[in-house]
Amino acid sequence: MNYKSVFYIFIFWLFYHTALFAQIKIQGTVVDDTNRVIENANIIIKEVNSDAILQFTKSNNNGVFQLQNLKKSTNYLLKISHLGLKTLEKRVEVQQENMILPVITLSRNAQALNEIILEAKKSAIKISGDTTKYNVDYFKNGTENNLKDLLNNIPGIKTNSKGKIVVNGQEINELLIDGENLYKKQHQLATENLASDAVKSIELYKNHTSFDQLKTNHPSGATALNILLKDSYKNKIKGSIQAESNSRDRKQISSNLYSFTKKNKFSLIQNSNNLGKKGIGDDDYFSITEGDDEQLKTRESGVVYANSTDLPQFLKIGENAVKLNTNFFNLANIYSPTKKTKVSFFSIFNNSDVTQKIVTQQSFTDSKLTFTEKINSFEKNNFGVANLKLVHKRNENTLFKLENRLIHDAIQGNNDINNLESENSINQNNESNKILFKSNFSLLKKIKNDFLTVNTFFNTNNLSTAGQIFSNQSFLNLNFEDDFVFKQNGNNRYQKSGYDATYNLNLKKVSIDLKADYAIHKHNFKTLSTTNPEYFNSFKNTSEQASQEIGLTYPVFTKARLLFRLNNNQILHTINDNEKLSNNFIGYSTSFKLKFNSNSTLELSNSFNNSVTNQENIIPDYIIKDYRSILENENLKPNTLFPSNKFNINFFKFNVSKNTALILNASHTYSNKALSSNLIYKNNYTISQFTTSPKDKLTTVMLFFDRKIKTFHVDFNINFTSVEKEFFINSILSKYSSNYFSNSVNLKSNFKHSPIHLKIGCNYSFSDFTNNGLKNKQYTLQNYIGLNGMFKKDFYWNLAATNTIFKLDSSERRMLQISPNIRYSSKNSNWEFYCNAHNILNINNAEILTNSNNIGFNTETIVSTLAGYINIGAKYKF
Amino acid sequence: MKKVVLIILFFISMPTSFSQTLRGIYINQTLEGVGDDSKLSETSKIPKVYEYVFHDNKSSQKLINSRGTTVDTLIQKYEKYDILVESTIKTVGISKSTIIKDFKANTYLRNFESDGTETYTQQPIPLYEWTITNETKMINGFNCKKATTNMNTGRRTFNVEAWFCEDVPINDGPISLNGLPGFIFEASSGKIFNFKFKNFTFSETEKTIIEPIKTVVKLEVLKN
Repeated sequence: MNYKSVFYIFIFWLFYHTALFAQIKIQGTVVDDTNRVIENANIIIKEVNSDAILQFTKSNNNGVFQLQNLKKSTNYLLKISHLGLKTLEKRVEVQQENMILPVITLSRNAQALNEIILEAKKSAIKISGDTTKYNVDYFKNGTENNLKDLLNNIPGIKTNSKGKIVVNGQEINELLIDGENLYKKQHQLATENLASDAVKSIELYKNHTSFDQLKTNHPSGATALNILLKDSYKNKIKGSIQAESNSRDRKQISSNLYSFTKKNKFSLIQNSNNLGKKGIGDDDYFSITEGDDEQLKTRESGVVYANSTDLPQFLKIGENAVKLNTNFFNLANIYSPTKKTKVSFFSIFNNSDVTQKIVTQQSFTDSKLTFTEKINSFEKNNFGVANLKLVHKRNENTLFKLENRLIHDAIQGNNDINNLESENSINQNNESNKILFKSNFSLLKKIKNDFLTVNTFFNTNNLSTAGQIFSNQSFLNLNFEDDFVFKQNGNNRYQKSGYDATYNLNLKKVSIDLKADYAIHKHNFKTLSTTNPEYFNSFKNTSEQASQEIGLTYPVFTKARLLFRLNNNQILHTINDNEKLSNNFIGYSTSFKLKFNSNSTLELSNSFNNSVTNQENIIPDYIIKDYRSILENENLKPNTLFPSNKFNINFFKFNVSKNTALILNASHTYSNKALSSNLIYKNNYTISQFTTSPKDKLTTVMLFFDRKIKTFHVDFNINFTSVEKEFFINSILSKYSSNYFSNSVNLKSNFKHSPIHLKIGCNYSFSDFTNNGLKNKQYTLQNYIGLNGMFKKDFYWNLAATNTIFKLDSSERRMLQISPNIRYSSKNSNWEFYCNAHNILNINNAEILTNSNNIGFNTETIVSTLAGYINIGAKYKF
Repeated sequence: MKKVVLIILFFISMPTSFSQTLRGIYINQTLEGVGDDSKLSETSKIPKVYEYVFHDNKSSQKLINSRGTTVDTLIQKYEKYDILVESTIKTVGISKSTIIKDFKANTYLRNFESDGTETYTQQPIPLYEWTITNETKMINGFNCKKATTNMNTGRRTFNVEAWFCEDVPINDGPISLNGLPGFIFEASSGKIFNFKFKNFTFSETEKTIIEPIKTVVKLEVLKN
């Protein structure tokens, strides 16, 4: 035996053992907590931090198991389970070969498997009674950015073209964030600013009663959507800042900040841009200026038609301007110091500067009078509303509410007008300043099955106006001394204070409402001219108004309900502190509502009402509106009544299985005494007198249809409006009629995993106006296509193309808008970069045609629109 | 005295934790016949529904929507000769099928009846060598992993793909499949069979008895 062979033997022995070292085996015994061995227990071994199963085995009838071929010095996770016992997970580090583990005890847990099953059954949608809970993670497909994207993925929920959330075909009554109605009707402020990652779950409540209402014994029919946020998004200030710009100084800076804590919810949204983007939509504006209670009333699927003269200027412009700077600011805060009290504050400020370039031609019926003007106008508008509401719910039967609202609307306008016929060159300045304050205190009390509501209110509205007209020629046949200048100031003050009480009696079947109200209204209207002091207006009307109403709701058979209301009104006017006039009139309304099921309703209603004339129309002398128009009052009296009769049909149907929604609304309103005008033509100006006419008819039909076909969403919309009025031209009875028809078809794709998503649609509208047989027509046809998708995981692109054709009797315009954009947004980063191009084919201002028409005249307008732009921007989320 | 009563009550209540019962149904969809490439008749493509029960280390799988043998008349039109030809199709189906696995006694009992012939077999529970691939899929809310094996019926070998959930510690599956560290929710072999488990219900207190199949025919014990 030499040393070499010993050495080789030693090396061989070493290798032998090393090879063996790799073959590590572990053994263990499984018992229960009474030390009984467990047979057939599942043994799984995994690598730590991995879910992958490396090996598995079972314990034998002595409770013993063995696992082989494991690596030394490696951390493993051992998982031992058996039916009826609690699963044990244990870290094991294999240190030696043939490792014997200490005895493993599984404790009794009969619930274990049940819990797993319940976890598994935590399905995507869970319905219990009136609450539907959505498990948000199930509905994500990876491309969601904000709450709006997430809602559109959930079946039955979507956002409509106006940004409102629609569930099962109907707009929701309340949008709650963690239980609080922070954004009121401005759903888009929540859907576009809350990140989709912030949402933990979404709940839908049917027959919801909001905090500032008392629960009744009847199902309320109202729906609310509650967005519950993840804890990581609460008790922190979260938000984002975004800025974009280009070399031509088109820019946008917007930011939003929100903070949700248990007692306080706060949201701040800011947007400054000169791109033509509105901070607030038309619907939202009306919802702010109307009362809260109007919004929370049980919704019928009705349609609201608003008079465009009620909208402030900054909302009517859209992109129809040469330059438009907007600063928008919205603050909302709800503080709940206790479970019974809520203090909510809501405010909106909007400041805009608009420069417009308009060429307009206005021609008057039955006359050669035509005004062709080139107008350059500049308007500055500051609008603000602040609303503070305190609600104290002492118990389920008593509620106190105090609401204060302050609105400020200041407009400054400057118009340079060039009249091409008379070669008149005019500069017109207008200033108006409106301050409105409303305060309302309510007590709601439930007494057994009945309800008592008492409100006391105080409103004050102060409007001051100032106007100046400078011209190079005489106008309006006024007396001028040196220059052709006219200046006037006006002040319009309105105050209302009073109370109303409602008692709601709920008998077994029938429900009776008794209401009484009393208020004192004060109108004070003055105008005077510093250049022409012979012309002035002064009017004062202090009136006492009282009304009593009785209403009856009777269930005709199980699914139908009949409603009847009758009211009696008395008004005593005191004009200019001496003359007394009075009104005594009744009104009624009936409605028959058939509820086939929770997703299908039909309502037929009829109402008859009288309304007293607007006291601002009682102009004692005359008002100069502009260099060629004068307003006068022909025969309206402060107590002139305008009766109107309205018939209405509302039908709503939502088919859950076919995912189809159908809404039909038709109404006909007629009156045999209505507010109208008498147009008097002079040589180069017109006088419009307020008068009454014997005919005013309005018919509207709206049909909306929405259906999900496989992976597409189709919606179809028809709108038809017909107006028939009688008016006067030079005191001769004349006829006006107009028909408006619009139709839109939209198709949207709903693919789950697709590189491209698609949206296409077509909108068509046609209107004709006839004044005494002279017809004018207008139509617009708009086709659009939108494609969007994702590539390379973090890049999102969007391409929208719209082709619009405007056609009037005499002219036609076409506009092709193409807006591509691309965005880079990574899940791991708080930064987002994008390139946003809008209307790139019209980098210089394009023009569109509009036609506005009313009784006695027709106006064709060519308006310059905002130029397109290509911007680069960045967004930071925190 | 009270203590003694309590302890006795505790011991009496013990066995109930082992009387848990799992119930559900397996649906088998066959799209292709075994052997030649003839088309499978439409009646054979109707999915078969089995009732599945697991209790106290025994499981049973029973066919509940048996169709048996059907004879259909088919009327076909021959365009060439413009005549109508009547033909009959006989589809042989299974009218009864029961599988009982006893994991304690290690027996696998099968009883099925088809076209008047009844067959009964008993053998030890087949052992399968599974390869877990660690692909995952969510089935009915359960996190399932994939495993493959080969099923040898003596005449042919099928490649079987199964999805099991390790959170459910029942090592059973459809037909003869078993042995995975979790319950098999789906098992398929190409288009030949495709079992899917549905209506997973679990009761901790239900006590049921899975009885071995009684038969008057003499047993033919097969060796594995």
